[in-house]
Amino acid sequence: MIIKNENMGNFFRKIKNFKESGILIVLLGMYALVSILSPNFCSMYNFGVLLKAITYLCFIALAQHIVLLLGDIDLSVGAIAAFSGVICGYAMGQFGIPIVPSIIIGLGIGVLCGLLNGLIVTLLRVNALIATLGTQGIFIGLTLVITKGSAVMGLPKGFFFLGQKVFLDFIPLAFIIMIVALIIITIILRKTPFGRHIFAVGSNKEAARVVGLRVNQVKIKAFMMSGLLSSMAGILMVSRLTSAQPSIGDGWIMPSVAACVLGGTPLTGGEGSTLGVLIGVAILSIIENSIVLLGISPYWQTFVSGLVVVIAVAVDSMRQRSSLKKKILIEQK
Amino acid sequence: MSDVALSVRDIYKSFGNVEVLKGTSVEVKTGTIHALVGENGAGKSTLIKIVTGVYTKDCGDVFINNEKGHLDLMREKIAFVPQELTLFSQLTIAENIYIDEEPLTDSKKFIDFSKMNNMAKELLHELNVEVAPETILSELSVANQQMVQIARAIARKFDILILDEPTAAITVIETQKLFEIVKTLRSKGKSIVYITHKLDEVQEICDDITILRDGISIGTWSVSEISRDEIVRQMAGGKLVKYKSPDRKADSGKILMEAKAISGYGFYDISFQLRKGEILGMAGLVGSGRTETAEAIYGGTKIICGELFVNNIRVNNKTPTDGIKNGIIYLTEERKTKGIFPNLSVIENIMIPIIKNYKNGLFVSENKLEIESAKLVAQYNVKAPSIKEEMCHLSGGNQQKALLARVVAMNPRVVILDEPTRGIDVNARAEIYDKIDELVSIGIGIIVISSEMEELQKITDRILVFHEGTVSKEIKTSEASNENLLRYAMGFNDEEEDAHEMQNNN
Repeated sequence: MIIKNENMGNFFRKIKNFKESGILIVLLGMYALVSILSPNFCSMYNFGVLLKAITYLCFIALAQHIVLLLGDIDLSVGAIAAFSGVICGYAMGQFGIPIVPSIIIGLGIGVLCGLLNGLIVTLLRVNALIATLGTQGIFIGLTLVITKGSAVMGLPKGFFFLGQKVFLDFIPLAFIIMIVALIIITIILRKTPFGRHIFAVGSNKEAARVVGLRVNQVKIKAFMMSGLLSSMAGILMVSRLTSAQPSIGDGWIMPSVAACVLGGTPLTGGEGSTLGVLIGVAILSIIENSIVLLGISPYWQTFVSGLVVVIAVAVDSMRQRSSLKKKILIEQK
Repeated sequence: MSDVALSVRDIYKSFGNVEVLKGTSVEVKTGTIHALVGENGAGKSTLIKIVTGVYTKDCGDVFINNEKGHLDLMREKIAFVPQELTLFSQLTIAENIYIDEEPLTDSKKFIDFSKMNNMAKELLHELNVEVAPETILSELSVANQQMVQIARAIARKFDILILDEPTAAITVIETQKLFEIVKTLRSKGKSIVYITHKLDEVQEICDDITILRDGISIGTWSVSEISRDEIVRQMAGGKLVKYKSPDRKADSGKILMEAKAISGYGFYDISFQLRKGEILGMAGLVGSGRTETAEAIYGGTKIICGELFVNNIRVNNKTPTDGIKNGIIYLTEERKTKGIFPNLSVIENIMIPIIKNYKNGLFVSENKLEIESAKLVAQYNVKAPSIKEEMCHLSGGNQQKALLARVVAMNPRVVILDEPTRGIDVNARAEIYDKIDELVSIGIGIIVISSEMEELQKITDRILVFHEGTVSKEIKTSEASNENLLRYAMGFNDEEEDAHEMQNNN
């Protein structure tokens, strides 16, 4: 019995020390609240809608997360999604390239966009905020030039499977792909030397250089990974919409940052988890979803997302202050 | 004005469950320089933060000129020079000094810049800092920036001046200037609280000394009545820390590293040899090229001309990565900005450079990492609540020990330690010296850069003295003294010395 009690104590301590526990409680509370306010929220159909929303936002948020870990920010995630989605669609619709090679081309475009971002940030030493503000314009601009502003239609039916297939009436295939990507990214970030180097560079770039890490290489690779994830979101979105629209990624930047910050990835880098990102994404998606269900004007949606960003950043700054207090405590001991 | 300028009585302060101050009392007499010493974590900073109104006390009293202290009174009477610079790097010197108290034009709407610059010029002249007040702060050396910080404090009206480790970043010359200023202030009836780790400074300028240990004020002595050993004993709590004097035969070792007339940014024409099992010191004033030389050796910057050899093989370190491959590891003087990874664990802080060696297939084996770093943490006596704790939560001394463990984990041939004990308390200092000795004994060559002449004399075998970018003198430590090191650092060469001696003889 005693042993069991100790185990229980351990278990609770683990939960208490679990960094994401606070935000997880917020998520569960929100879920409960909306379930009570809106009976439709718990329906199978709505759950499917929610999972779809989570899927795309989570890809973009993960892309953002990797760059935030470096202590940088990527304003071009939405633009990369649109650009690579449209290129993928264009390859199929205009050139009749088969599905798989087209997807690979789309993903390749995403990686190349990330490479460009990485090169500008490292070799040209441009601040990531400004660099990606610029490349965002470049990517969106190229997308518009190619499509002349209209959607690319006439995509092969087989391609729609990716974004539209739903298992058990509520689990989209895209969601499963996202979860797989999430797990792979988590393992890369947590378990490989490259992943740990990302954290080190984000925690202290100068120290990383001094101990011999190849900072530029780490950054460029991270930006490429981020680009790849963005392009996945774009391609899946094209498949879901059955046409490649140049406006796919509009308005994705703010929620991508919001989800990360909500989930405990500070803008200063070196900290944060993919699980936190997933929870942050879920919270944002539930907020959006409930605005619709509760019959609030959809025009409020942008307002609420903005509000959430401000609150999340404020909470993040409070958290940092409390961590400072902890430092004082330990030092005085 | 009363006899006692500042009286702090029975202050208690806790953060959460941790009692930091447990009945601390200090009495500073008017017109004296009062030293406040104690190990890191003894409660000095907390006490000062209470006196300057940053923290509120739990109980106890603060009296300023026999008047009960409140926030406005504190602001009016106390000037404070914090340990770390709180200046605006993009503003001019004058703007920094008079920020928020800028002299205004007659209309009271605009800043009177010519007046402000003139006031600043006068003040700087008093401080012996001959820089134009219109200079942008970031163009100044760290030492001069520290002087600007002091100028800002004394430009305001005050009765009590609190200096927190003011000499940590400045050289001997500036220190002397500072001492003169402090003494002048004392003669004008101001009272000065002087917080420091350097006991020779205490003996040089302070009148009284109060020693803090574990949040309790152990006592106040007149400086003339207490010996250095006694101060150290009281700080450490009875146990006197002794340094081992080096007992090595360094001359016999083979040459590990050799620089032949290397030049680069901030230094030129530097030649030296480093033997196996030897500690080579680099002395010199701040800005004399010591750190710049070290940075070029490990690949942080480039060697523009000249040759560097490691084990008789010519090396060309273009990046730190190259330097590390050649076995040259550098431990920075700027622990916070270039040393630690603040929000990574202690484990990763030590192991990150060699994390690739701990793979199971594709992935890092956390078990192996933990076991290996736990060994190092124990070996280097890094005190942390857990090795998974974030690095930023450790004290400066423990961070430094962890960084030293990192250096060793990287399997060095040559280790360059830049100000290895800056801002570190007496006990941690002794531990670091012990570890340096250990490294030498296993055949690693060590270069120690230090602004503390005593430290160099204590631990090195040979000293290169830098002056204005190059080595002005190489000297055996056994022949070095504070005085001759300072002479060489200030650029007096032997001929002048000889001439001087000859004159004396005549």
